[in-house]
Amino acid sequence: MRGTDKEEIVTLTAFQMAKAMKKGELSSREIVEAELEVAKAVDPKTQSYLATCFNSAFMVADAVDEARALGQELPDLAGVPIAIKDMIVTKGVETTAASKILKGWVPPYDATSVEKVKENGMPILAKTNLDEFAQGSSTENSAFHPTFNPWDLERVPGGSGGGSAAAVASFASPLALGTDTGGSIRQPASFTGSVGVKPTYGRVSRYGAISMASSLDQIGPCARTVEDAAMLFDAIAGYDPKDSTSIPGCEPAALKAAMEGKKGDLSGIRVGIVSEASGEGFSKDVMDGFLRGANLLSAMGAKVEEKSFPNFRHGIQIYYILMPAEVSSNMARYDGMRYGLRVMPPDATAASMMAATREQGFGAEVKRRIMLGTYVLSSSQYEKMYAAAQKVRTVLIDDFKRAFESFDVLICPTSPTTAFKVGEVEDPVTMYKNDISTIPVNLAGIPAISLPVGLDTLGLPIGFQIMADRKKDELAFKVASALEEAVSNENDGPIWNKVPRLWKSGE
Amino acid sequence: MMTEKLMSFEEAVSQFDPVIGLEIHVELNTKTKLFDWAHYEFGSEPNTELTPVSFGLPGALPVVNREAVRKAVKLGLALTCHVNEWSQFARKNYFYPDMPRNYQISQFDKPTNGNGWLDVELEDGTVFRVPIERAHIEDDAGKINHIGGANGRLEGADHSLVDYNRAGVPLVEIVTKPVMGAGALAPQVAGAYARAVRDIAVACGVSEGKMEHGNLRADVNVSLRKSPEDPFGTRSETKNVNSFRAMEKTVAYEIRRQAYILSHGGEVLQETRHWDENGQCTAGARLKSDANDYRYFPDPDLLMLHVTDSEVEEIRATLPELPFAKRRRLKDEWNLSDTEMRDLLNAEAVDLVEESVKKGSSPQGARKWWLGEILRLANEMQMPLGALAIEPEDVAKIEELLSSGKLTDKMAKQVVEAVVNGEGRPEEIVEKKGLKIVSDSSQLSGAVKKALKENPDIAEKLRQGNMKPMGVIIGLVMKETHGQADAKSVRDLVIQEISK
Amino acid sequence: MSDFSYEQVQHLAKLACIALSDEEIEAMKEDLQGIVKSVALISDIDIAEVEPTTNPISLPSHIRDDVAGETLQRDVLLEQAPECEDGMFVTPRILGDE
Repeated sequence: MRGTDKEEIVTLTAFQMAKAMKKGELSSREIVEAELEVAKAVDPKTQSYLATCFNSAFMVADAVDEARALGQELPDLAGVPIAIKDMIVTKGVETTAASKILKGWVPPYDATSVEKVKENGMPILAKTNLDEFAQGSSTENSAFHPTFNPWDLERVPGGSGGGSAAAVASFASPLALGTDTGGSIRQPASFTGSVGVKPTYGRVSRYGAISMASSLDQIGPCARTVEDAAMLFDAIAGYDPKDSTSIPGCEPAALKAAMEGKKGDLSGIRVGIVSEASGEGFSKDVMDGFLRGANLLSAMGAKVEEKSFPNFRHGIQIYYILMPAEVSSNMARYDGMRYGLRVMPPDATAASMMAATREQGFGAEVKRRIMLGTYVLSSSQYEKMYAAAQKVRTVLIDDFKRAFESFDVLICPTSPTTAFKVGEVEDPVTMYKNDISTIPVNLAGIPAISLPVGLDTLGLPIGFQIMADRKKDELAFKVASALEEAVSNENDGPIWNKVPRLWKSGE
Repeated sequence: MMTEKLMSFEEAVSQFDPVIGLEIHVELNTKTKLFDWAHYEFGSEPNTELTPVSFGLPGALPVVNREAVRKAVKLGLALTCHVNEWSQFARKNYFYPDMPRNYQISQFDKPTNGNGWLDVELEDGTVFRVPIERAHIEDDAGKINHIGGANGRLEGADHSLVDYNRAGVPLVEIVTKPVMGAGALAPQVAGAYARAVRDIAVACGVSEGKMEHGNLRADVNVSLRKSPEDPFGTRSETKNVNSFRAMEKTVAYEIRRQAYILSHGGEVLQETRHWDENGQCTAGARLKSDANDYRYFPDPDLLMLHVTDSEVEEIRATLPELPFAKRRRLKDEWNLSDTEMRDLLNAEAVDLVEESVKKGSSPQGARKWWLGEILRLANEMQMPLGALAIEPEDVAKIEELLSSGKLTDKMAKQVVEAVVNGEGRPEEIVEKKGLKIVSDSSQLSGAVKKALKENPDIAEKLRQGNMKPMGVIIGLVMKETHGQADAKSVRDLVIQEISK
Repeated sequence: MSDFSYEQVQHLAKLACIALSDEEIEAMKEDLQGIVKSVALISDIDIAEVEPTTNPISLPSHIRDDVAGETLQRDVLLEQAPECEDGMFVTPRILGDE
C-alpha cells in the first residue's frame, strides 16, 4: 500500500469509510491494514493503546468484506474499526482498567456495548489507555504508562479516557468507546480536538462497563466528527434488560438529528449560557473560543441568553462525596481471591492477603478515593456527608429541570483550560477542578457533547459543551452538528484535520 | 476451649429477665438467584452455578428476580407484615472471602416487609406472640470449606476453599423486635418460633425449609436485665445457629452465662459468638464491637423496588391456610386434647394425618397408625415420618381393610411394616402374603366345634351364660387357623354352637 | 493541619481493607481534611425538605422473570484464579477474629 493511500484512508471519517465500503471503493481489510500501519507509527508516540487485537480485527474485516461481496444487507458501520476503552470488558481480550490489580485478566464475557459493536460488524483494533479505573483527568494515573496528546506530545490528552481520545485524534482509529463518570469522555475530547458524547444516563447499557461510580457512569462515543459519534451512538444505545438503570422505549436517532443540524438552521432553538462556567479558573483563550461558538449558534438563528445557575459550581463538591462513596464499594471486589493480582505477605491470612493485594495493586489516586469514600459512608459521617450530598444533588437536578423549561440546550466551555503539560498539575484538588463544567452533567444524568470550537494561541483545541435535557440526546447532536459545520466553515475545514500527522518523521 | 462459669438456669431466670432477638434467614426456592440468571441447587459441583453477576466480575450488574420478590412478599404477608409499596436495596460493605463483591446487597432503612407478628404455640399449649420488626430481601454468600483443621472447622485450618455457587441465592431475613416477657420460657419461645417460621415458609411454598441444607439459618441475640422496668442489657449475638434444638440451647446457655457474669459484678461484652455443638456451649469470636461499620448505602445499580397494592392483593389471595390456624382447626375437627395435638406436632405428623383423613381414613385411625406402628418403625430406622415409603393413602387403605373386617389388627401391622419396607402398596402385600381373614363359617365351624369338644368344662360354663372363658376358645381357634380367623365371626359361631 | 488522627485513618484503612504505609496514612490525613472543607461549601444549602437522589433515574426498578440462563465455565474461572484446588478458590487461613 502506498503512503498516500494509507493517509487518505485513515483520515476518512467513519461515515466516509462506511460510504466507500458500501460503494465497493474500499474494503474493511484495507481500512484495518491502514489503521495498523498508522498505529505502528503513531502509538509509540501517543501510547494510546494498552493492548491491540489486530488479528481478530482482520478476521472480522474479512468476514464483513465477504458478506458484502455476497450482497448481504449489512449495518451502516459494518467494517468500520473501533478502539475500546480498557474500562469496558471484552471477551477473550485482556481488560485491566489500567490497574495492576487486574493485569492479565481475560474476561469471560462481553459488555453489552461491545456485543453491539460486534453485531454491527465493527473490527475491534485495541483497548485504550486510561487513568486507573477511570479515576483521573490526565491519563497520567494509568498503572502502565501515560498517554500523550497528539497535538503536543509534551501535553496530556485529558482523562480518564485519554487513550480513546488520543487514538481517534491521531487517526489510529476512526471511532472509540469511552466511559464518562465526571467528564472522562468530554474533557479528553476537548483536549484532543475530538468529539465526545456523554449520553443520558440509562440510554447506553452499563453492563460490562467496569463500575467506577454506578450512578454517574455512562458509556459513550469518541469520534472526530459529530456525525461519526451519532452513528456510533445509534449503534450502542438502547434498552438492556441486564442493566436495571437502562431506560426502556427510547430508540436512538442521532444520525438523523446530526444530518438535520448540518443544514445550519437553528431557528427556534433556545440556548442558555451557564454564567457560572466562567471567571476564576477559566482561561481567556477558552472563554474567547467559547463565545465565538456561542455567536455562531446565534448566527444560525438560535436564541442565545445567559442563564445563572447558582448550584452549578457546587457540582464538584457533591461529586467528591458521592463518587468516592460509590468507588469505595465498587472497588471492594478486587481482593486477590478470584481473579487478578494476589500479594501474599509473610504468614498470610485471608485479611492480610487482601489488604496487601489492595495496597500494592491500586495506585495512589484510587486508594485516596477509596479512603474518602469509606470515610463519607462511615456511620458517624453518613448523614452529614453522604446523605447531605445526595440531597444537594436533588437540588442541582431541580435547577436543571427548571433551566430546561426555558432553554432547549445549555452551553459552556467543556474544560476551563486547554491541554496542560505532563506533570504540570500535581495537586489532586487542582486536578479535580478540571471537571467543573462536566461533573454537573453526570450528577443530573443529562446528555452532553463536547466538540472543538477553535484553537488557542498555542494552537491547542478548545472544547465546547452542549447539554440537553434527559433523553434529548438527539437535540444535542443536532446543535453540535450545526456548530461543527459552522466552525469548519470559519476555519477552512474541520479542527480535527489540523492535528500534526504523527506518522511523518519529525512531527 | 476455656470453660465459662454458669449459673443454674432456674436461678438465672429467677434473678434476671431475659430479652431475646431472633434473626432467621430463609432461603427462597426460586429457580434462579436474586440478581442473576444462574440456577442454584444444593450440593451441585463447586463453582459451576455462576454468572458474571453472582461471581462478582468487573462490569456485571444486578437485576432483581420478580419471583424472589413475590415469594418474599408472600412470606411477609404470612407473617402479617406490612408490605411497603416502595422498598430499596442497600449495600452492606464488609470483606470476607466468601463474598464475591465484598458487599452484600440487602435492605436497610426501606425493607420490603415491615412490622408483623407470629403466634407460636408452646409445649403447654399457651400461645406466645413474637413481634416482627421486618422481613427483608438479601443475597447469600458462597460457602467456605476449611482444610487442614479438625472436622472441617475454621480453627486450625491452614487454608480454606471457596465454592461461590450459593452466592446470590435469595434470602429473606426475618428480624424480630426484642422478645420480652418470656422469662423461663425464653429458650422454648426461640425454638418454637423458628419451627413456626419454617412451617410457614414451607406451607407457603417459598422455601424447602431444610435445616440440613442450610435453607434456614438463625442468629440469636440474648441480653439480661434485672427487671422488666430496666433498660435492655448488653446483648450477645450468636451467629449461624443451625438447628431448632441448638437455638433453644443457645438461649439457655447465654442466659446462664450472662447471669453468672452479671451476678458477679462483671460486664457482658457486646460480641459475636457461635454455637459449639461439640462443647454444647456458645463461644466468643473475640470480635470487637466497634470493628464493623457496614457503611450501608442505597445500591446505585438498582432503582427503587415497586410492589403495587394490586400485586400484594394478588399474592395475598394465594396464601395457604397457615400452620397455626390449621392446627387450631384440625384440633377442633378431630376433637383432640392439647397433649394429643402436641404429640402429633412433635412427630411432624399433622399433615400426614390430615392427608390420610382426606383419603378416607378416620382421624382416630390415622392418628393411631402414624403415631403408633409407623412412628415406631421410623424411630427404628432413624428417619422422619415423612421420609418413609408409606403414604397417607396407604394408611387410609389399611384403615379401610381393617374396619371392613378384611384384615385383623395383627395383619394390618404386618401390612404397614411391609409398605414401610418398600414391598409394595397395601393391596399388593395382602395378595402376596395371602393375608386373608377366615370368616367363612364352614371353615371356622370345624375349628370351633373341635375347641369346644376338647374343652368340655369351658363349653359348659359358656352354656350357663358365663362368657368369661370365651377368649380361650377364640384363642384356640385363632391358633388352629394360623391367626387368619376373624374374632367376631368366631365369637358368633361359638354362641351359635352352645345355643344348639 | 489535619483534624484527623493517625488512628482514625488507620481504622478507615482497615474498613477499606488496604494495608496503607505510614507515609500514606500521613498523606491521607490531609486528603480527608480537604473533603471536610468541601462539605462545608455545601452545608449552607437548605436541604431540610429535599429527597435524596441515589440514581438520576426516577423510574421503578425493572425486574426480570425467574428464568435460568447460561452460566460461566468453571475452567475459565479457575484459569484466572490466583490459586485453586479441587475446583474451588483457595483462600489463606481465615482468623476467627477477622
